[in-house]
Amino acid sequence: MKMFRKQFHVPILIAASLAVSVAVHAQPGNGLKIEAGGASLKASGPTAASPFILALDAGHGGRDTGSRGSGELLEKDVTLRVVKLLAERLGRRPEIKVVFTREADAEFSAFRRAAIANHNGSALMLSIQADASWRPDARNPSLIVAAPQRPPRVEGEGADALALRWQRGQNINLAGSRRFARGLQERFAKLRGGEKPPIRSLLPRSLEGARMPAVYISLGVISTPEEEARLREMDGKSPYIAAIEAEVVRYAGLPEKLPEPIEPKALGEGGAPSAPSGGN
Amino acid sequence: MNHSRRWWFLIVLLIGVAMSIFYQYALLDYIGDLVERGRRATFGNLKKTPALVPTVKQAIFYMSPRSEKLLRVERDIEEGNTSIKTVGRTLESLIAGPREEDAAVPVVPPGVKIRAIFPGPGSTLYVDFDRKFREAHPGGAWSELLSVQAVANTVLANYGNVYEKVILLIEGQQAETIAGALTIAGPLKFRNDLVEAPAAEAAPEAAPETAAPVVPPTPPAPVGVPDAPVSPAGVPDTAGPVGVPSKDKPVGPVGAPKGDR
Repeated sequence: MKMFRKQFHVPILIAASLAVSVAVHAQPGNGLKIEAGGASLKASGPTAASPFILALDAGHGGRDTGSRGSGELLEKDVTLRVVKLLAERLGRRPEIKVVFTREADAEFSAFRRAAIANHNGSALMLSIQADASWRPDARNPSLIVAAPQRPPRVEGEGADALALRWQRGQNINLAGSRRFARGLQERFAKLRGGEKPPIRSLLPRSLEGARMPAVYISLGVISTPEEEARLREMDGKSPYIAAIEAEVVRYAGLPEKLPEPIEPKALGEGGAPSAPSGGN
Repeated sequence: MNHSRRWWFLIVLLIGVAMSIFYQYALLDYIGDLVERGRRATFGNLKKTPALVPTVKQAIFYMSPRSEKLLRVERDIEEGNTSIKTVGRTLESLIAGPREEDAAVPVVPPGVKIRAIFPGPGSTLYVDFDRKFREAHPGGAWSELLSVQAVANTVLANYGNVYEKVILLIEGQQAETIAGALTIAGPLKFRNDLVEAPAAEAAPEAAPETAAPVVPPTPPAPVGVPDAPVSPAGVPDTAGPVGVPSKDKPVGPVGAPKGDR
């Protein structure tokens, strides 16, 4: 009996850790699908009762104005407006719950923003920003995902503690962050005649400590007058905001085509409106 | 008596003439230096006589007007009596911005003052700027990255055999960020991936009589610094080949619990 136990010790451990891993990762919106031996195991998609939690971070705020355009447009105002417009659009879907890191013109540290996102169990964090450039003709949105970090090991610290260190929060979520960024890159490219915005791998402060997939979205270069004008005119119908919304919906595993005005059309045409994806 | 005095005078005169002939260069240098100092004190930095002020060619990194990268420019910099002083003058040239003929864009806020430059342990050079570096910065993660790397690359391209890393200080404190968008998570290393490829590489068949390129054909890599190190401030742009397999994988400890959800 002892031999049997010893012999199967390692496989049992592997199987157990796999099961735990599946349980941990199979959260609403992750769209996890595992196929083994013909059987498929699907995690349930987000529902109104168990929504996909999206943390929206409006960059800067308060005394921290962020970048400033030549026409005096402030980055902190653009980011807050865009975040609210995006939340308004996403609010039409009961399967998505939005959490703000700031809702007013207030200054919060990057740590507090990450803490808000973490505490609310967010499945995705989007940090909305605008860039500035030294070049007077710089333009285009850009996307940033966190670069892998290797903070120095503290003496006596175990490997598990090191893995959970604040600075490494993004390391375990890089794949998800990149997946979202690539999807959004494609959508932005369609708006810009095929020109793909870059996906950069840096250490943006606003993503530090966030323990979920997170992407820094720069909507444009505020220091360039034409871009400043574009950012100033962004409203609820902006194709950029619509693109972000569509990508969030896809990432959450929800059907992209939600009946726009929820009332008459969907019921008339195709019978019942598409159910909020039971399986994705 | 009168006769011997005359002899003594003659001997002293001869010695004086002989010494002035022997030390003429040193004497001229000394007088020239005195004149130069007096002129600088009175009129500021006017045009200097090349013979009096030895210069050294230094690489300086501004921003390229064509891409979102740094552009290497060579400049004659007045040599200081220590390498730290020369580094200071080179960085002052970086802050002053490019000249028209450089065809580049400034990458550090103009008017920033260098408070101190000093070497630290482990081949590290500390560069301390005043708060204007932060206050006058336009912001934006990429712009911040270019600013800090312009400083690091400028130091390490010229003194890569002495220093391996640069730590930026602002008002004496280690800068964790410049304008709040980017985290500077440690010493900065030379980053070649942020430098625009020289124009000569793009057009190898260029006619020889064209004006001498400002950018040298091959930027010499600093001794002891790898070609494309992964600086703590970021890794190369992945815009081009989307889906490079090795970069897609999470680098962190795979399977670490998403505990605090």
